[in-house]
Amino acid sequence: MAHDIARHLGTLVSIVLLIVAVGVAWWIAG
Amino acid sequence: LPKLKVASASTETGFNPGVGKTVAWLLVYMALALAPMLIALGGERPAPRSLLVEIGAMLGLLGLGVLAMQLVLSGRHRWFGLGFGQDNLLQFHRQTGQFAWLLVLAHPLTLIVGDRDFLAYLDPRDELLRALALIFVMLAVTTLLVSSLWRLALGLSYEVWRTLHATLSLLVVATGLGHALLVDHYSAGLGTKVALTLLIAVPLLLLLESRLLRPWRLKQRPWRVIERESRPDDVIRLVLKAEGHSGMNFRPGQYAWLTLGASPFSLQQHPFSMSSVASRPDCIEFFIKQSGDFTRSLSTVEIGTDAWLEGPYGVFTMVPSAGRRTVFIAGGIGITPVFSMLRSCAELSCSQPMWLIYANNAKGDINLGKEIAALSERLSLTVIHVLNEPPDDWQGETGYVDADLLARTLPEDSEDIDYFVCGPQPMMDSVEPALRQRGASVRRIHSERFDLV
Repeated sequence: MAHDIARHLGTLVSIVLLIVAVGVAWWIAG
Repeated sequence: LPKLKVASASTETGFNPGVGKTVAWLLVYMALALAPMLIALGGERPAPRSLLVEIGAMLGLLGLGVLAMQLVLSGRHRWFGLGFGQDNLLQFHRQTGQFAWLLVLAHPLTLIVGDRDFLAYLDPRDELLRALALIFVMLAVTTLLVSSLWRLALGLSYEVWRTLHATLSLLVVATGLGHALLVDHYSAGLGTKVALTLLIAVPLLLLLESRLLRPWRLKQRPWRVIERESRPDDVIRLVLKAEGHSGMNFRPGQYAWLTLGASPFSLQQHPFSMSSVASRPDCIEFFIKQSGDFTRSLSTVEIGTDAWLEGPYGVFTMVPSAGRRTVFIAGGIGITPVFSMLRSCAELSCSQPMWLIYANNAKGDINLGKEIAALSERLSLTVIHVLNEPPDDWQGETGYVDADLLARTLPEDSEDIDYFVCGPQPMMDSVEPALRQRGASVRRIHSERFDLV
């Protein structure tokens, strides 16, 4: 499990960043 | 061949980062990737637009941050890599690279869907230079992605790919910055423009440092080929001697990027594990499997050829004197870093019990067989050869390295056993979970993957 997560850290981080970007846009657009 | 895993300077016998450090590193990475967005939002805030348009704008700013960070991730900067091995960083770089491609395409698409007027950005009749720059960026990131994922299928040599990759990356990030500055929406203020430019200039300068300054520094520390031996196991043994300097201090298991020929600026730079003992930094030996154009050309390298070594790199390394019981699991040419560790153990007359599980396809694929047998007599080392395609008279283990084989050949796991695993991807994917099943904690499993380049 730990190794599976470690192998896909780039993908997981990308998803988090995408959520942050959409969240910020949502916040700006009101 | 090359390397590695998630790590830092921590355990006694090796390097393995731990969850806390990994999370901290990821948070720093995310903060840096989000920095263009934060800078843009920190300036004068224009009137809000529709949700889709704002999403499009944020995806663009995020894309710029992620792309800029790609230059840092791949630059072999030790201060940035911390304890993570290059193999892990490059795996991360590949995944975030695909994300960057997605962002670069989603950015205009979302804007256009949100507001058709944004189509004008891609219209050369509206503004030729802007349209060409944007179309170039989309084509360039697609080329970067396709040429990286399918380099071999496309028949691209490593050297051509590397040049293409560095050039396009530089141009894409520089064009992205220019675009962000010219759009003048979130970046209308002078302060925002300056901050964005300074932020993106750092990774661009780091790329230039790694491609230009670093080879220039190598030029001050030349090496020379003093021995070359073609071995029957399709392995070339190459010995380099430092010319006029003290050499390169390394830990057993580390690797260096090797360039041969008159200039360190050559595009032919390949990573290989040092196989010699760490106590001789001025005389370094490599055992190199002949598997590609470059490695095959090594069989004709002349004695006296100039050489350049960039390194050492890698966190797949042990401290032989720590005295902990050690299990090595190697596949194919993954034996070379392990060989360096075993040699260093022998040099220090280490007495702790050690096991080496060495997996190969066929008997003829076993590298350094005689040398390993000799080391097993000097060390308390049990060698277990595993063949996937054994000959009829084979008495040893067969098949793949799996949980059953580990249970059959190794002692019960305990806190005083460290595991060092180096092999091709499929082997790593099967061995690492099998070790975890045995009860080995991640901190005691040190691993390194091939196919760096």
